Amino acid sequence: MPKPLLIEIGCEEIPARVVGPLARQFAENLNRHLKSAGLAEQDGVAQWTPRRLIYLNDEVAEWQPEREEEILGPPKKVAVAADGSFTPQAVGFAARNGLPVSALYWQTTPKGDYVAAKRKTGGGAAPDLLGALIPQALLEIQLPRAMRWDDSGVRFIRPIRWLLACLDDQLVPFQIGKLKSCMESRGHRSLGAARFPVSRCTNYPHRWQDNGVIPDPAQRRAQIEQKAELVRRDEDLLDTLVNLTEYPDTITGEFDAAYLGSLPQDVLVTVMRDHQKYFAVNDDSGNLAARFVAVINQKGDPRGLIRHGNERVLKARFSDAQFFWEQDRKMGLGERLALLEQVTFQVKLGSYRQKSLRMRALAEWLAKQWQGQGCDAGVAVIAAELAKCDLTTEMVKEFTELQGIMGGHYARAEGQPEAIAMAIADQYAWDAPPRTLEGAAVSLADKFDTIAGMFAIGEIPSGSADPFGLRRQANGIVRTLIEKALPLSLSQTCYRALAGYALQADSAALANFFRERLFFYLSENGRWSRPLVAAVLAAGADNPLDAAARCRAVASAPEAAAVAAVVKRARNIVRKENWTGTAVDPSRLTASAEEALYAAVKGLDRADSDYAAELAAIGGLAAPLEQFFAEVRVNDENPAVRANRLALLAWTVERLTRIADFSEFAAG
Amino acid sequence: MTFQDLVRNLQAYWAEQGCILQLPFDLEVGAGTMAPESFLRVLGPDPYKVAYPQPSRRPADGRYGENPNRLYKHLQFQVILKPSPEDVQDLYLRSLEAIGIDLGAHDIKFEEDNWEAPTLGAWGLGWQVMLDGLEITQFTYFQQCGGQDLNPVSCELTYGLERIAAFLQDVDSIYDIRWNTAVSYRDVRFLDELHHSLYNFEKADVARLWDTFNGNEQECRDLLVQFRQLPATARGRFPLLAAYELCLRCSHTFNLLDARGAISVTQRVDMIQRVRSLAVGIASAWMQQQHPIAEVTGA
Repeated sequence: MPKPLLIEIGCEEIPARVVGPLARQFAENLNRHLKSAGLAEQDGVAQWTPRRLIYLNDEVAEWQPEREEEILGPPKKVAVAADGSFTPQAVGFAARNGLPVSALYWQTTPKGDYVAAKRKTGGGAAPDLLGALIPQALLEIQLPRAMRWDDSGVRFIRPIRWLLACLDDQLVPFQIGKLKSCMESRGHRSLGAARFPVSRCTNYPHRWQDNGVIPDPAQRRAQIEQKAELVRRDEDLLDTLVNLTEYPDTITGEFDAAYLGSLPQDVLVTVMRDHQKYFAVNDDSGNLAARFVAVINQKGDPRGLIRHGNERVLKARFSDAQFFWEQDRKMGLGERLALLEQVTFQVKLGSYRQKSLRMRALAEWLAKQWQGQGCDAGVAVIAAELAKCDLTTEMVKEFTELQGIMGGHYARAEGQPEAIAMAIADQYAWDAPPRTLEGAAVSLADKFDTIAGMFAIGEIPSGSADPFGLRRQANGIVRTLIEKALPLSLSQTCYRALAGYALQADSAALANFFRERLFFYLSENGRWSRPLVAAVLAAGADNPLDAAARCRAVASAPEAAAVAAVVKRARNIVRKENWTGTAVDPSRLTASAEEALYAAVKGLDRADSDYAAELAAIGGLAAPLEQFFAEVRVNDENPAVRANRLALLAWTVERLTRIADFSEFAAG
Repeated sequence: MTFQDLVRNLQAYWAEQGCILQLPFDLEVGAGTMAPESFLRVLGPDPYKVAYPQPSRRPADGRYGENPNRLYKHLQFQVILKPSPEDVQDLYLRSLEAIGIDLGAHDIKFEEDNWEAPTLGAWGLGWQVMLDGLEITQFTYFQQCGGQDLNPVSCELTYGLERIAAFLQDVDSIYDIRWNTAVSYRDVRFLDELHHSLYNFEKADVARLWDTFNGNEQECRDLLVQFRQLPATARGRFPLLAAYELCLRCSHTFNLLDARGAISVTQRVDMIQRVRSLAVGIASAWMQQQHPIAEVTGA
């Protein structure tokens, strides 16, 4: 008869950003161990609060099923004596396993015959087995940063303070460090009993709720959402607050409406969201209101004390921000360039002043690449040089997440043209590509400069290690180029960026790094299939916009599959027959099928990059190629004819794989 | 509750918990942790419990006494509990009740905040304690200090006294805090803030500060070299506490130079490293001198 199992690991407050993943890992580990021990077929679920990791499984067997397994002893030649009796080795094997010699038999294996026996395993009582499984499942959790708190040697994310484990109404005894499991839990710090007894699993969750704890994060989330309807949706903030509270409630506070006019809204929202963990609130017409919603770990605020306290803190924060906004504007962005010399970009790569000069040069070069699209190099140059100046403002020192955005506000406030302000404001552009082409030039100059510099000093991302977030920066580059329809050679730009440092970097490593990012972008969310993207990138990955255009064309070309087969065949011949790299000579073409193929391939040559039309034409080549294979023998006795035929095939393959390497496509 | 009652109540509460009541350390420190009662006492195996108010000086934070929330010199209340007690969070929460905070009527959250002091080679994990959205305490389980792994682990509680007093008295400016019933924080401290802001930002003699930094650093290093050259049996009477004070003087001088804008990018990294190497050298020497057995066994 299966029984319910409840486990609660009681901790001091676990960081909000990791508590959910840790609880899930714990549950996955338990599910795995319970299954392999034969104790549970169904998976249990994870719940959590800041102070507890909880695991629930409705059906855990009381007894482990018995299993019979075969164990092998010594090989036959060692186990049997000349007279046919068992040797001491064989007798010892039986004794070690608690079996009579009469239970032994011979088993044939690929390595020869061995003495063997059947042994019964399992049959253990669930509480005994669980007592070993639970500590294992807990200590196997991968922790972002572990700590010690006593001399037991146990390391965990934060100190563990109580352990509850019951199988229905029975204690599961186990120990972690100095702590023993018990049938007791603890209530909310001010809404419940310090400790309360748990007599059986069915006490969960109502006994917890009686003690001011809502153990189910989904229920806490619903409780916050229900009480705070007017807030601006912010899933990250909501998650954080669900994980910071055992019993969430909300209060609505107010601030002086004058700040709505006297400070940029980006500042107000950032202070509320990032620094105070408040939701910003919209008024009926969708504008920012002079109110906020705070989530508290408490039931109500009947005297308004909590509201008053939070309003006081926000008032001080806004008053600081107002002071910074007034002070910072006393110095122009241009004057701040000198201050950038004091700000480190990277120890080995110098100051932000040096970076701003390199960005200026690179942005100018980028803007000139896109002159035809209407990119104004004059704007890009000024914006690039001033882009990092806001790092020296008091506002950005205090509210670092506003870098770039504040630069835009200060540029506008000092009367810079709107185009410059926007380009500065959009330089980081994590959520969406920059709004303007000049913004794209500044943003890309910054990112290429960082990536090239870091590669030059060997700070290359590998595995999960990417301390400078270079992958994210390269993702931003790829996305901006494609979504803003900007052609660019990645390798040339890297070369330019490195020239700004007068440093060298491994260009193959850079190309690989960008190719991976481009592959990620093009295949992300199933935009295009991975084999298709691989085929397209095999034909060139240096210009993301062009690669995207080729993906689009190939994906909608019905000819692709037909061409793939013949291209593959042609390439195999070229490889196998050792084409020496000579060019095709039309005067040496003899057979009509060769001449037809030559004419068809030559007909492909067109100056524009209308990939759809070219693919249609390529589709038309399947027939002459088939005909060539059917009628022409490449291995002619005359070496000159043979060489020319190989050259024709090689040229054909080269021309056919300029959009995508179809042989890769077929292989995929 | 007046400012001085706040200090007295915290002292009374922690004295009841068995803490030694220390007086503030009398050199400039940028954080209470740098006081020897914290930095050196957490090293080695011996249990220790201490509580003391400690002025913390951060020259770059000065605002000429004009900003209602920022100070060049603010007061921390430091508690070191070694080893960290099992009920340390409850002990802490009861200290809030001891200063008149009704936990049932307020919102308390322990939010992740991991503390690191690069110049001290020290780090720990813990929280900032939020009271109705206001950070009132830094709560840290020290893991390393002066580059030494700590065993046992100490808990450090650092209360921000001005913030807590302003909250309790419901005043918008630190300067309006009542120090006692007759005298305000402004009366006691305004000139201190003004004069030191003027000095730190405008008058401090950069060339002399460099001399001070270099001189103190050199002397501290010389002392550490002398210590290491002594045979183990002769190290017991070596003045490491004096060497530590030289290291603290370097740290404060570095902060002054920084406030004067006299430190370039490359120098900055280099100087943090220089101060850190003094602190790490002293912590290691301290272990050899005071805890030779723990030093060898890692106990």
